[in-house]
Amino acid sequence: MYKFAYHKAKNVKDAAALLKKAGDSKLLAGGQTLIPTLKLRLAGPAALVDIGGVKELSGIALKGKDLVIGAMTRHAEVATSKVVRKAIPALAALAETIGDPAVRNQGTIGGSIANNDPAADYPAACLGLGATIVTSKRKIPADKFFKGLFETALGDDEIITEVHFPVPKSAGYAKFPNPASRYALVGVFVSRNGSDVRVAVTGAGEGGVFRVAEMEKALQKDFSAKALDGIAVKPRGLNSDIHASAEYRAHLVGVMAKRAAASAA
Amino acid sequence: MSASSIGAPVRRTEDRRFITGRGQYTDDIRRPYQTHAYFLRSPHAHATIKGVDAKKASKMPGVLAIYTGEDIAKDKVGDLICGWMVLSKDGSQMKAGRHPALAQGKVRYVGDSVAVVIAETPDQAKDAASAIKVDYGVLPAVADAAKARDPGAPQIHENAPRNTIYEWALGDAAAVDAAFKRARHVTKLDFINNRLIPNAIEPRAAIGEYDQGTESFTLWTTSQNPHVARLVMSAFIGIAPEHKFRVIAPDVGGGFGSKIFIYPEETVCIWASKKVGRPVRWTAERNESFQADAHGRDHVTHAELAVDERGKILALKVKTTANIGAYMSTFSSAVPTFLYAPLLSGQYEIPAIYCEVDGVYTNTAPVDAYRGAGRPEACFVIERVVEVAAREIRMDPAEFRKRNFIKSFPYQTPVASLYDAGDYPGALDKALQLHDYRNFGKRKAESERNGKLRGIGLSSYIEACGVAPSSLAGMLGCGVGLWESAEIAVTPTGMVEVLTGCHSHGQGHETTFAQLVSAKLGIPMEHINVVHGDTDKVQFGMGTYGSRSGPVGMSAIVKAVDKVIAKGKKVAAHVLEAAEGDIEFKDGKFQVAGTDKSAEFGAIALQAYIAHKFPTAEIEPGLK
Amino acid sequence: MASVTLTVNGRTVSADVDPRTLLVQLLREHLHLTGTHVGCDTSQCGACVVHVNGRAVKSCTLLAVQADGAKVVTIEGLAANGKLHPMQEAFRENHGLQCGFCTPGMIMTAVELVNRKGNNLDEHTIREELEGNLCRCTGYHNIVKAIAAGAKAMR
Repeated sequence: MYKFAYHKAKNVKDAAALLKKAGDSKLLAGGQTLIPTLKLRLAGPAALVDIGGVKELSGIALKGKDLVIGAMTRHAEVATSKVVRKAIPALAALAETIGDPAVRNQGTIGGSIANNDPAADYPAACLGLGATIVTSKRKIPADKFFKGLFETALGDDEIITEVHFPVPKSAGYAKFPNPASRYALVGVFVSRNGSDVRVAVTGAGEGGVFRVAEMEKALQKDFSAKALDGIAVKPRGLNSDIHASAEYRAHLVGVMAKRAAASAA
Repeated sequence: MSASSIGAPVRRTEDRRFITGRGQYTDDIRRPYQTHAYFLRSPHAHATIKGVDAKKASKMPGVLAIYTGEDIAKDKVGDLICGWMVLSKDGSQMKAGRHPALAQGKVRYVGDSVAVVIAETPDQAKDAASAIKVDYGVLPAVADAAKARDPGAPQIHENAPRNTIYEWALGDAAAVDAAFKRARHVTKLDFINNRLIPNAIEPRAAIGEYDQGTESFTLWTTSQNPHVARLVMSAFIGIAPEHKFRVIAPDVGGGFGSKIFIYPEETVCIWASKKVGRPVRWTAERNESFQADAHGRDHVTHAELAVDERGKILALKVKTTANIGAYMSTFSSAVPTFLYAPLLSGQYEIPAIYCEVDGVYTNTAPVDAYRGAGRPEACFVIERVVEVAAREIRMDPAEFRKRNFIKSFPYQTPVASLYDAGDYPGALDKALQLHDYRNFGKRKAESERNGKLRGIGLSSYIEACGVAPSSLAGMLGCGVGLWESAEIAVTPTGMVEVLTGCHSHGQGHETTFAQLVSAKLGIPMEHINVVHGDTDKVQFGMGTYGSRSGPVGMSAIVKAVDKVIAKGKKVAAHVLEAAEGDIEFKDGKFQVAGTDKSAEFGAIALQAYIAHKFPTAEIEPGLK
Repeated sequence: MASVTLTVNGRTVSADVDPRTLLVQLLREHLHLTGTHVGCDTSQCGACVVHVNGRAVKSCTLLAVQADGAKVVTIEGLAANGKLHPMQEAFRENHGLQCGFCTPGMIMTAVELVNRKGNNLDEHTIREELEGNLCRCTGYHNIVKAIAAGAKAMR
């Protein structure tokens, strides 16, 4: 790691102020992506602002029609939370598939969303459930939050505080994990909430997580795996790397979407 | 506490320290005033070094020294060597390029070390390394063994034209050609046996230390064979005289072959420790393990099998291009030749075999012995070509194998190996039976009905392992003795130290060897301590690889124990006032035959050290 | 420099560290607890797993300053009063190790697994939960056996 200054934030306001003051700085949540990145010297921020001690950022609660998860809530907490399991079981199941147990014990939902890794799981859940990302400054709908590879709508000193997931009628997530990293080679999140049907794909898109309108239309008419028969995603615009070609990923999107729909139906 | 018997299930002695976190691996060792080394490695596969500017880096916090290949050359540090000469079929010697511990003038693979930074902390060393400016003249590179000799391929070492190290051959080319002319069917196949990276879970590490008072060196290192490391570093690299050079390989976290070799990093640590006057330590990051540990395999092969009208194999022809990498690692020459071709007969009676192996340089990490080293590559060739041939001539692959298995022994293969015994059809029949091979078709059909695919594969395997002194090894030009050393040192209290030249890095020698000695001497395993991995304690050793520690290392222990018993009998005869010939040793007791006069092993050990009444012309004091 | 105070294996320790010091470096270099190992740079191998406030985490992927105020248990702190922890015993009993380098991380992962998921663990669960721990020697078979046995013994 390159040298950096370290600041421990007392609360969200303090954290935002520290971020602003420090200039070239990064927010440290669980650190499960950030620290490996620093260790490999792929990034060298001048300062880290640690929000690990900000208690108000953790927690899971049902508020009205929304499941509200604090940004510093660990993956393991989401995976095992009775509240999550009852409200959106697919979200708990998704959290259970992230990385490995030690990563789940330390990594946070806010960190994952803010990082917006194109193969991360949570962005699919956010987009697939039509979540709202609440920050220190505003509320951002998931559809406007994810901007591209590792890019989000977040400003430099803006901090995610909560994620609001509308509780759907049903939802499902299916992923084909990279066997080494457990990142999604392709992951598809499917949900329906009244007439709102969403299909969100992670792991595949060159620009990160995206929705598949054609599949959503088909599922609106008939919410079943069968309804997706014959709907193919084009390889154009999909990732191609040593793990899988764009064609392979396109095929997987179809397969995973069906599995997700089947588990949600 | 009682003696153990060979084969009895026991819990491993070494486990207690490993499960409590008290093992001592190289990186766990701390030396007073230690410093940390970081190697700056080439990001290019092939480039000239036009200049190294370390001015800024050398002034950074904590930096003690920065060395490059020029410093290595100035100090006349010898090159790393490949220890096994391979002659080409025209009789010429292999063309090994120079391998300095730090690159001189040119880098030849991604990971080739250009400079080393010695600093107070690992972070400071790394910080400074990133401030070193290397002016590279990037050259075209070749990574693929099959393309290394193409016209226009970049020349990697000046003294190896067309990147060819050797063109080696084994077998009778004329006999093979004649047999192919008679063949009813010829199967032709091309294979790639891909390169892989060993990745022991413990990264390689080294600590070099120089004692100015005694002018002696100590190296702690992750080695499978510390004595060989000392020998090579003394005799060839010349960084320390052997008698003032101690190499210690403490607990080692797996090797898989990759920790046999003598690498640049430990060489630099020991050399630099004298220059900076403080211990120098280095532990590889996993990234470096991928780049700079010797890799395995990487063969490109064409094979042809000639078969007659009755389905009998007539001859085998194999042509392999072996990727040696950018430099010749310690045993790299032998792996694709001596450890490969002599196994090409597999379990089959093949009247004529001819194999050519071309060793080539490429701009890749050096390739050397990895898990099986050459032998799995040979097995892959012969089994694959046999399987395909069976399918091509529409014969059941099991039947084809059985028809061609060697059935009478001893059997001399055309590729130097002599097989003493075996029952290959018996073994295959057993496997087929266990697998209900006869009804495989039914299972396959059933799977097809369920929309699934089902397949079956067969493979037989024969391996030359437990490399020991043998006439074959000598015939193949092996330069080292391949024997193993053992010493049994009995203390006055009857405790036993077993000093072995083998090295345990997961094999459990401390248990297995102690169990052997316990059974032989009739004393509890708790009274036995197995000592390995330290050149100051063990006189010599060849180390552990190629499944040799059981057959070779333990054979040496048996011989040493027998000597202790023989000496014990002399002592017992004196103590018990009987003739030496009348002394029997059984269940830990020396006994005068036919009498009730006896003495425990421990009592005789004590007497051997008291020794004041010994007729010293016949019996020397001590017991070992 | 940053100062950290934490409890390691029941003892309160304080140190002044460069903020970029990882928890594993604090344990190994400052406290000489070298049973916690480092096998990779990418948070994959799990040789460095320790318990922080009861949760198994990779000490190579946590800054020492992040563990300020925490209770840390390492492999050295598992055996109480010279008596092996049942999971340690199970690893020895079932030949769940060879070279021993990955073993401390395996055992720390296994103990927390039992704390989370109980004493009756099936093979599938154990294998899934070992996703973040690599072993190059054993092929995992005896590790899985050891953890199942250790889980029962921890009752």
